[in-house]
Amino acid sequence: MPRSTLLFFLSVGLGLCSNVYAQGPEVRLKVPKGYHDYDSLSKRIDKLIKARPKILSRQIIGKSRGGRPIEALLLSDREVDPGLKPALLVVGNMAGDEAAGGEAVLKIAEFVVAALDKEPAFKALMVKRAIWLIPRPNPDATELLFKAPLRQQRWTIAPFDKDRDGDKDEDPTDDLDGDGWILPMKVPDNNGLLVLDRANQSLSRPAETKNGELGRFRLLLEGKDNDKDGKINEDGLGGTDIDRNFPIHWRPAHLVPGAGSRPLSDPESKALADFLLKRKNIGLIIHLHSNQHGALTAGKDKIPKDDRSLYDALGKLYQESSKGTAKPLDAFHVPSGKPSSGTFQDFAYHGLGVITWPARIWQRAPEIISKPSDKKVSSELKRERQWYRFFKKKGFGYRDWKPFKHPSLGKVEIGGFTPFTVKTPPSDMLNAAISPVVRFVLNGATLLPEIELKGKKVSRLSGNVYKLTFEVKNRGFLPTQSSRAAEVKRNTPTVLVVSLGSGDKLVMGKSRIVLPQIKGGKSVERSLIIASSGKGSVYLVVRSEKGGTATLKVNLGKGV
Amino acid sequence: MKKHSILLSLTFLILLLSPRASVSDSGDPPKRILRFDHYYDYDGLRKALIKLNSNYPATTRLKSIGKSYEGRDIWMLTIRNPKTGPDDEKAAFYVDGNTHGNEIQGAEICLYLAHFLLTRYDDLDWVKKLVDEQVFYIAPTVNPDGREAFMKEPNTPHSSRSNRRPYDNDNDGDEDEDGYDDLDADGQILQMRKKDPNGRWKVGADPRIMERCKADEVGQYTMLGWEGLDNDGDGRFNEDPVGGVDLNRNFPSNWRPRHQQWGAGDYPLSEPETFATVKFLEAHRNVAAIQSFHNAGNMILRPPGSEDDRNVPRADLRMYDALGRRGERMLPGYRYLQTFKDLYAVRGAFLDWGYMRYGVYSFSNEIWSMAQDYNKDGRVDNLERLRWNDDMLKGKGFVKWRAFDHPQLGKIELGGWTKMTPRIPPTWQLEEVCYRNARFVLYHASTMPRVRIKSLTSKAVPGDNDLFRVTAIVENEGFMATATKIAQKIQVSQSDRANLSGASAKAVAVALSRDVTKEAMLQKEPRPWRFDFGHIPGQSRIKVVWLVKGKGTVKVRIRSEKGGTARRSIKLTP
Repeated sequence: MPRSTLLFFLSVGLGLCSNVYAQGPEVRLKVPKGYHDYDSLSKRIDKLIKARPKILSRQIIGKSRGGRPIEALLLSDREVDPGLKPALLVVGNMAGDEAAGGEAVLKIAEFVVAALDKEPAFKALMVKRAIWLIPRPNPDATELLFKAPLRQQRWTIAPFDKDRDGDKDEDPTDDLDGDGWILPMKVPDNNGLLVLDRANQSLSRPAETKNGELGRFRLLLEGKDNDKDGKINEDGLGGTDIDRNFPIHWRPAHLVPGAGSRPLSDPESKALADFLLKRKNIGLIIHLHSNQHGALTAGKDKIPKDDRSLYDALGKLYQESSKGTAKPLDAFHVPSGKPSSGTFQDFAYHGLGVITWPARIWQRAPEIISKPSDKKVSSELKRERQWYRFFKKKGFGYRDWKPFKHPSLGKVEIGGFTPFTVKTPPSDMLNAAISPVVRFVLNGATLLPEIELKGKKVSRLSGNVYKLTFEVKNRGFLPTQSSRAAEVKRNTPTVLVVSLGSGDKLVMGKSRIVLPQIKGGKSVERSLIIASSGKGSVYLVVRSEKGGTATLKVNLGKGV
Repeated sequence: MKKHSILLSLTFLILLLSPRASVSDSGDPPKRILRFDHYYDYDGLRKALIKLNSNYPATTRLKSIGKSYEGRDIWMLTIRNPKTGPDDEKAAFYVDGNTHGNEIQGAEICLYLAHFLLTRYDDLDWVKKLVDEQVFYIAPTVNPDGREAFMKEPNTPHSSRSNRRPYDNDNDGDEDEDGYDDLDADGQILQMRKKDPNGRWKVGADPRIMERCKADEVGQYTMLGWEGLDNDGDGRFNEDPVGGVDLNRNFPSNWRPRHQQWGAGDYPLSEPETFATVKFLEAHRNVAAIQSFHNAGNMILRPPGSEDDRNVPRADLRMYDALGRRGERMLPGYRYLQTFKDLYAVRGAFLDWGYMRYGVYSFSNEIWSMAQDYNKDGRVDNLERLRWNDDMLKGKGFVKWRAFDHPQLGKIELGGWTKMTPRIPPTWQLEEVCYRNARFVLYHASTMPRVRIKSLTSKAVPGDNDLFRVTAIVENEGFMATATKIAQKIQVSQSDRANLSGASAKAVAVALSRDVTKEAMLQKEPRPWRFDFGHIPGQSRIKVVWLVKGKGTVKVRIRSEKGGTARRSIKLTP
């Protein structure tokens, strides 16, 4: 794969295409332009498939709890069985409210389809690689961003009895003021533990109870006591946080809210796990998040040294792809100090040994450099202040607090960040936010392991006995198997099978050769001693789970 | 004298002719619908269940709770009395067997338990009480494919343990490509040995016994594993036999992946068999106790199997110990053990899930132990097993070593235990094994929570014609609390609930006392007509007092997830 050509094209191509989504901020419309609900996303994909039916196809890998098909798109020239090619998987937003992930996935498909005619490198890429795209792994929850009242629903909508009163989801949030958003609600309460931020009266901070400061209010989400049990929103919509529902390092729901009743309890997470287990040629996964502060890992397992260096290289590439806007990321560093459990990243890497990269789309308020300020202020509040200033400047995204007469709580205020802000970039910045990810993904496809088989030497030992030496090389950057895969016994070996010509006999060597892990750019050499009848050729077929297949035909009499 | 003897023989004759005295509690049922002198294959098991179901259509229900990998139904027989209320308003007992395909006797015990409950319902009061007040969910085999393969195909005593889903045990990319082979076609998978001057094995005190050499001993033999070929030509024998997921390592409780736990499967409940069990139990929250039957070794195992007792609340331990000690008395020779501490670590086991995640008392019995400890040294060794085999089985349980010409290994010998010998009781022992284990289940079931409204009274509040004080004394008759402590800790239990309703009356306040001798305290409950009061410990009473406004009759319902539902009504009279 001519990687440098591809890289060059990527940097130019994305620039050319960047107008596809160019839109100004839409303040009045609740759903910003550039974002697609389930049906319109599906239609755009239909269009792409129609344009390129031989390259792009779709598979249904499961059904969500709400009955929506979970789609996986396959970008690959299907003339060659995509199951035998090195494959990359891109997973859109598992958290329902981080909708930019799904948009980035769509953009990848659109970009490749558009580029196929212009650039032969992409045609070659489609012949040699398979790219799997799962735009909406949690479609029901994402859909709630597009239906009034707009709400940020991270969890699936699987009904779950969170207050264990025998009823499920009976006390959800409500759009009390009818403005089409579910927003935070400020309830005056002297036991509330919160006070207004000193620097910004719109934001709140914890009361310094140690210094005798009293709380003035508490924050809830907009809602009423639907089931009249004296509590507000205690059993809302859903469900399960599917990114806490995978079986490696899973912890139960009484310790991790949203973990689900058991690992893979939800159809969404199960579909993803089954998909991955079936497609063993997937060698690299890029999992998209937006506005996510830490790596999604339980952080307990030691990372083998070899894998660690792969991750470091990926981190550099990631930073390059973002042209410096992304911070170099350590895929296993948990900045909060609170490791997550049961994540997809842990299932894919720690469980199956597939290198998995968490890519973030929308990390922090752009163009605001945090100033060294008050040490007492928590980083969370600092971030909120930045977001606040950012959206105030834009003129949307933050609704000022307005008094509201609550049916059971009396005077409250409703306001705060609206959906499609902190967790997803606004329309005018969506394209800029997802372009680095598109670049990174397409670069990622060139990193996959790729097996090559070369004859090195044929020497005649005596009469009709020949020694054949050949080399199996990994032309890619990633190894044929990660070191973690070996630790967890998921390293199906690379196997070379020898078929001899009629009348040929193996004098030394085996007809089925099991090869060790081959690192990127490295090769292994093997020999066979064959008594040849001189009639046919020797065929060698090497098959690597993640590195594809390669063949070699040698006529011993003629040499290599 | 003569007259006397005639009278005596007459009495004797009458005794002989009269129907058998049916008050006996000896376990010798007056009615025989099924026989327990043989092992049932899958179809036999199905027919036996249908027979019970058609003989007792009112008190049984036969249903499939799912299909195995090869498409066999996992049958469940429900036993209860529908006339005494719907199933979900009673405490239920779940029992299964044969999770491991080769551990077949669990199914016969389940069948025996069902047979006992049904055939003794009419003549044993305590059986009638259990069937009237509780529900029994009985799934004789939860691994029908494994059972069928074990019974119908050549096997070792230990093979056909997993289900039949192909699995790549040796991680070479192929599934089930190198299993055992019955080379001499005798229906048994025996062991292979080969004479070898460098071998590290020797013949023991009995010529049938093979012993490992000590470090400074000269050996005679090399042991070559189980009877088989190197089918895939990788130099190893039998390294990837059929299946590979151990169903009892596939449950979502402290599950660990395959590199940490053999047989774990790709993820918890990856198999249709385990999924069917969990799906059933999740849908039947009235199940308050679980028992599963395995083999062998004479053990009553309790969880956790994956850790020590650090997460087991003390109150639950007391209940466990009481049940376990009782079991040791009912099952002579059995030891009551904490699986992890006293036996071994198992991750993802059913009994762990049942207790640590589902939150009810779960036991796994390891049924039967071959032979006796003749020399009283505290353990049964191979010599004692062979002696028992010679005494009781005429030596038929062990195939003596005999020469065999192996296509790949040359001149070898085959020999060893037959598949039915070391883990499964001979049929003449089966019925007692079934009876004692069924009795243990019935004892366990008798301790389940049962909620009753002991009394319901109403008293007008003086000076008000419209206001009444309605007092309910609620008792949990069972030994178990209406929720285990672990269920409360892991937040899987639902609170018991006291409802009061009336056509023209409404509760305006509710008060509670957990000590019925004391006055009830007013509760902060916005909906006094549906009061979630928590749980009732075993063998204790609580008092719920409502202030009711209105007239006419009020109905009180106490609903406990595990302890059943009780109802009573009372007329409000000024």
